[in-house]
Amino acid sequence: MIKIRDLNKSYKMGANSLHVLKGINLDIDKGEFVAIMGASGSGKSTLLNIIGMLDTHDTGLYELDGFKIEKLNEKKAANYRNKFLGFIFQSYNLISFKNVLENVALPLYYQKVSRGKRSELAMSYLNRVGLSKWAHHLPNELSGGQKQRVAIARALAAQPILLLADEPTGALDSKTSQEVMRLIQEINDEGKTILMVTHEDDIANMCKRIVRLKDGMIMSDEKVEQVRASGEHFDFEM
Amino acid sequence: MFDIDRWREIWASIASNKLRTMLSGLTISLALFVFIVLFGMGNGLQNGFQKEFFQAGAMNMTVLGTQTSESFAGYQKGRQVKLENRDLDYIIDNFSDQIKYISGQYSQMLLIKHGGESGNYSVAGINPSYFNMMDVNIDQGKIFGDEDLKDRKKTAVIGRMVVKDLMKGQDVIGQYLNMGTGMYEIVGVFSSNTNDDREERSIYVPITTLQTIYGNQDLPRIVITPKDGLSSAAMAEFSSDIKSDLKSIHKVSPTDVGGIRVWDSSEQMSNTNAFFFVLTIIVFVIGGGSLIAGVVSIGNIMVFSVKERTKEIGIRKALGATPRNIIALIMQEAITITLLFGVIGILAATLVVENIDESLVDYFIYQPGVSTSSLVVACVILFVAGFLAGFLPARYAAKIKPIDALRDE
Repeated sequence: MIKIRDLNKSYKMGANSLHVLKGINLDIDKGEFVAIMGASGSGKSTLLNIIGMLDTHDTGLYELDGFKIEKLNEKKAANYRNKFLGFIFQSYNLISFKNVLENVALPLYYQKVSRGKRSELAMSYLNRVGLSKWAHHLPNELSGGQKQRVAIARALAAQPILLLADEPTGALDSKTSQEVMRLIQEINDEGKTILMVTHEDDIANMCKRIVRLKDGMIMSDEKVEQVRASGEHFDFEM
Repeated sequence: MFDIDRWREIWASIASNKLRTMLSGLTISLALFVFIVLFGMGNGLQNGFQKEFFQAGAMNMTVLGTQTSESFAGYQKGRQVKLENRDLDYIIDNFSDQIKYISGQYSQMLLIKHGGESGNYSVAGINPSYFNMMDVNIDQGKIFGDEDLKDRKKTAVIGRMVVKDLMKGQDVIGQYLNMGTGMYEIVGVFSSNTNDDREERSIYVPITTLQTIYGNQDLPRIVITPKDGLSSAAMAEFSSDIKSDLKSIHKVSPTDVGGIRVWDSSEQMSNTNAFFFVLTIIVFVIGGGSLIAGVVSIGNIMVFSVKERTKEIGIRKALGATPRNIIALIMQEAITITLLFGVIGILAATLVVENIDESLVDYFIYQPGVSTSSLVVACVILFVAGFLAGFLPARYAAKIKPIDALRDE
């Protein structure tokens, strides 16, 4: 699904340039659940941004589902993101003046799905994360864990082929982290490919494969025995 | 085009900053208010001027014969050209399309006697239609008619002041005045609607009667009221046509500045029009200036709004919003605010202007108003203004990189 060959990225910082990614090679197959680990400054977020088409690489090859991602204009990048990718952020990034249902429906709006169909789909994904009762509440009425579940429902709503999660449990306490990880594991169990950046070992161990980065290079890449999260399962509520 | 979600977003954005939106919106309202009120007042001033300076008679043209200043066709220069009845007939026959009223005028000062009183008064021989050209009211009796002209009757219509001076308020209709050349029967008394004393000390008699007494066909002046609605250009053309035709009839050189004179108010009118043209420009400069201030103000809040929503825009982009989606969102918001508040300004101004009506007539402002077409123009300007106010902020928003926006904690 993802094929990365000799990927390089550097940032210009005034006179000097900072070489952030130094020849990354990575293959991820469909259905994998990969954690990218590394200290801050190791390049893990940059790698995720490039895979998420929020940033561009300088040299090397990046293919997503057979499409070569290279020099996309903004419109094309937007369409690809909308079609292929779902994002889960550390700080949830819900839109505060829209209610939960509207937040989940937003990617569908950009897919030009009709209003009725959009609400219906968004509701089913909210149901999936156990929050359909909260559909008409504003995000700030929800707890952190609930917000992250809304964000997960939103990421799923566009039916992406790849979920990208940037420290999804970074702002949560350990109990809530377990709940959110359990949800993410269940989504992976259903066959969704997930790529997650984290710096916590116990969270990384809940994935199926860990890629460690240091100073812009891959130090290790190993399959691990998945630790199942202990959190509560959010049952379908209807 | 109608997208209920986008309208909800615009409402949410406006509602989240009600005060700021109100204040900037008010600058647009004020701009349109100032513009429409000034424009309406300009129109009112124009109406006031027309009422004051272009009243009955002001548009009249006067044709006279004068001395020639060039020798031409065998005639020496310095010859006095005399208009005659046939010149009046010629003008009536050839220019009837442009003429509302026409009359000859043959006037002189005469010693008038009645009983023991006497005095010098202006006596004018005229055609009956001359009464239509003056701003007068017939208080007693009637005017003389074409019959009196045909029969060369010695009848007279006299001003109110003549009665006051000579006759001490008696019932004057049917009495006779001694006008030096004979006894004239008084058939009517008039008063001037503008209380013009000089006018009210005038006496009017059939022109043919005077011509008979003086034994000629002379017509020292021909007075013409042009048809209503003739533009100043059309009037200038009309007067130069009369001049050149009469010059050729009376064998006056076409280049002669004397011989035939036609005095008309078209030049005066075009001066006034130039004044109002300048006034219109001033109105547009002031109105346009305040409108620009309003546009800048709306543009300003849109820039703030975009800055505040940087992160939100980043999220939208991450979720698949194209630059075009973002531009449309911001532009539509700017145009909505501009139109909404602009229309409020237009309505308020229209209300004010239409209600002034005649209350400011002392200041030369008479029935100010704005035409529907200028309101339409104002709305189009508003739309363009909203477009301009939204464009730069929208482009800025479209250029926001999601990665920068999302990092912005």
